[in-house]
Amino acid sequence: MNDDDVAAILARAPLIEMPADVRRRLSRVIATEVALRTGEVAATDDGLNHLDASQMMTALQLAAERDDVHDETPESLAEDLGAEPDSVEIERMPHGYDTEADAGEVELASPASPE
Amino acid sequence: MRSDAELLAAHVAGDAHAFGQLAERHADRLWTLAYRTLGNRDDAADALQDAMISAFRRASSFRGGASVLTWLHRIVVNACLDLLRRKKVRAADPLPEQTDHLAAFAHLPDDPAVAQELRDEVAQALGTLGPDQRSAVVLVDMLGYSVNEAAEMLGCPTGTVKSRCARARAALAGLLAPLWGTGEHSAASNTVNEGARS
Repeated sequence: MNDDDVAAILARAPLIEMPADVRRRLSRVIATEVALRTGEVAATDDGLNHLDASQMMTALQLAAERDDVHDETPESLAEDLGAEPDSVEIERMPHGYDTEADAGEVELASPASPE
Repeated sequence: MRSDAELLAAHVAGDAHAFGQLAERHADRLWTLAYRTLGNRDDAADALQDAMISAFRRASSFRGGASVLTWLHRIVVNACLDLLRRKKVRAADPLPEQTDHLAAFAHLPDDPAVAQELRDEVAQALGTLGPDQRSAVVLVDMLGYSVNEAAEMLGCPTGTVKSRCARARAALAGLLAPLWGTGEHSAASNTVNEGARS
């Protein structure tokens, strides 16, 4: 059995369909990125109509990883995300918190609905 | 239909739907790469998510030196290898193949028993390789990219890809030998010839 024989066997299982739940998860992540980039939590069409609570949480987590999170206040973050100011809390981590973000956690005090 | 490059450019220009279309277009190839490289579903999903976020944010840095697909593959491979480094695991524990998407294996034998054997044996054999060899052999032998393309995706010289593939195939030969001579030889060869491997 030579190299080509091995390659032939490997080539027989070429593609695996992305599972539906992974596809949905990626769609949600991309939608969240779009919403963050445009500053619009509630988009207008194409399945982005409104971020649900889960998407909102993802958006908040992503926002917490942003480099400028040190400058964020609940009010500014809420404004960026289109949420009510009192629905966003930022919990600062102690100095030296060992993560790339080294920034803090953002919590949604109550699920915000853009509707 | 817009090309990959056009979609990426549109995304950079602010088109809110372009990146999603690009990701959807190549979803199965990118998933196969992540899943085969990492050997399990959860890690593959995590790595792919990291990769897509990275690609979304770094799109403006794409200079067109390679194809958009090559660029995406490179980001996915890097995300997979980063995840392995973070977890300090070899990802060598072969998990059972997905059984809910069997229709995607268009080239598998008609006999379900033979098909299942092939899936299991390949998954287990790949699980014995280190991540570098595995990613090389997945790109070249399983996804059909040329050695040059794989080298671009992996960010290493073509000679490195060739040697990784050669070592991987040598390691796999004994493990996959039971699949040889089961009447699948000619079909397998045809599949390779249809691919882009060179």
